[in-house]
Amino acid sequence: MKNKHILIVLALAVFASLVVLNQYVIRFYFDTNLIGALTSSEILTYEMTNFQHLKILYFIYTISVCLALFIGIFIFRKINLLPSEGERVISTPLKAFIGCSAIVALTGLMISVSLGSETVGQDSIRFYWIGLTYIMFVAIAAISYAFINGYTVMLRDWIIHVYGMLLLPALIFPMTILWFHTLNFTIHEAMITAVTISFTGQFFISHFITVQLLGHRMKNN
Amino acid sequence: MSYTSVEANNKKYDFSGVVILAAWFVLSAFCLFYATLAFQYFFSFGTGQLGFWEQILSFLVSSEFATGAGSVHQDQATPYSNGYYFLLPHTMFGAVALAIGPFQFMSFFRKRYMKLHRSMGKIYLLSMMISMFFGIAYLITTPMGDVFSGKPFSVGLIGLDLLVLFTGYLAYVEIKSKHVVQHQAWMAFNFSLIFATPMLRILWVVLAWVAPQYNQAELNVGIMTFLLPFCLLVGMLWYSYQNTRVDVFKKGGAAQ
Repeated sequence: MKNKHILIVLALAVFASLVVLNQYVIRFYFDTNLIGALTSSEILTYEMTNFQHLKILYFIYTISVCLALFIGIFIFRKINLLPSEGERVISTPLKAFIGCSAIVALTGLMISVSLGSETVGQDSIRFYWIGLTYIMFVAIAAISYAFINGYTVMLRDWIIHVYGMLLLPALIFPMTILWFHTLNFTIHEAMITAVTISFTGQFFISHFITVQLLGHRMKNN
Repeated sequence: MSYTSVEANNKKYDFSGVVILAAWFVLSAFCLFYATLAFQYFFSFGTGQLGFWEQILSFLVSSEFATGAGSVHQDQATPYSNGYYFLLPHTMFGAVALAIGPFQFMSFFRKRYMKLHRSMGKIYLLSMMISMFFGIAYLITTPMGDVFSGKPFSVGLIGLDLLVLFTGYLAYVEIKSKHVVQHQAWMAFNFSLIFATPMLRILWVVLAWVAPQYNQAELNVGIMTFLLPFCLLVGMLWYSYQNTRVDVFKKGGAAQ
């Protein structure tokens, strides 16, 4: 990947990390909740109680997201070295990236299940997390398959897809505010719409990046 | 261990071709089956009878789930009647695209009958466009709150229709420029979006078994949050398997 691509990814990683750090840790200590003013005091109190009980889970989730985002950048920088000499360079960070991504999916699912239907987005958010966890694990399997077999393009493409999923919080929270204000949705409707549009949009963007921008015209069959 | 030896080792146990072929058969059979159900659905709706799909859903889950409170049959009776002339062509042309789609992804068929592949591709694109335009027309003329499962589903459907049109356009532009790999990439994406319609019904059934406390409308809005990525995952795995299992960097290809 070129330096300008890396810089864009770095900016996105910093933004996503800050959003996750704020929404899953900082907002419980300071008044910085992005969607706090849009939701009810009952939900905020409930989320605070949940955080107090499962603090460790929230911390693990946040740390894993941030780590995976920054390890991903290192992998993007070195991916062109694969297979040959790149195998040594990329092997350890790739394992760390896979591990962190898997932890993100699992801890996110656990937080969502523990919150249940009392939180913003209600039951639908649990469905979202179940779907996301499944998709994340299949994508991680595709990364592993590509790495083991030395399929560099496949590896790069699936790392980009997983990376896109890690960036989702950076899309979801601002979009929730947008839907809430533009179409007069309730906070639950706004969150569900934001989640749906962001999840699909992220796949479209990552597919567009791999197919159109990075390009790999390997064969004409 | 070097990549070459790992690859040689793995080839002995590589059943992925067989798995993909089997998956293709299952998927194609289901697409054809669902296309006929979709084709028939609004004809029976027009005559006030239960469609085949609703009868199957009643059999697989329960008549309460298929036609009771919170079901499409009950919740959407008025909006569907009002938008009947948009929904009839939407489902009919969508069914044509759904039935044609799977055959376009068969490499044997594509290579051996290229002319037929092109003709069927044109029919697919045309059917898909007509279906999406009527779908959008229905969604624009129906208040968001009246769409099944409410506002989020309405926005999701408009997004889906626009994305289907846009990726169909990208696929068409790419093949006109003779970029076969990119064309396949966008067609895989496009058909995955179309495939979301039957996949939604499969998930209704499966999740109604797993979580019987939810009605159709509640399940629908939950499934919607991950439905399209779930379908896109299949399309992108197919595309990856077909086109990206190559080390282009080593061979000095066009990747950068």
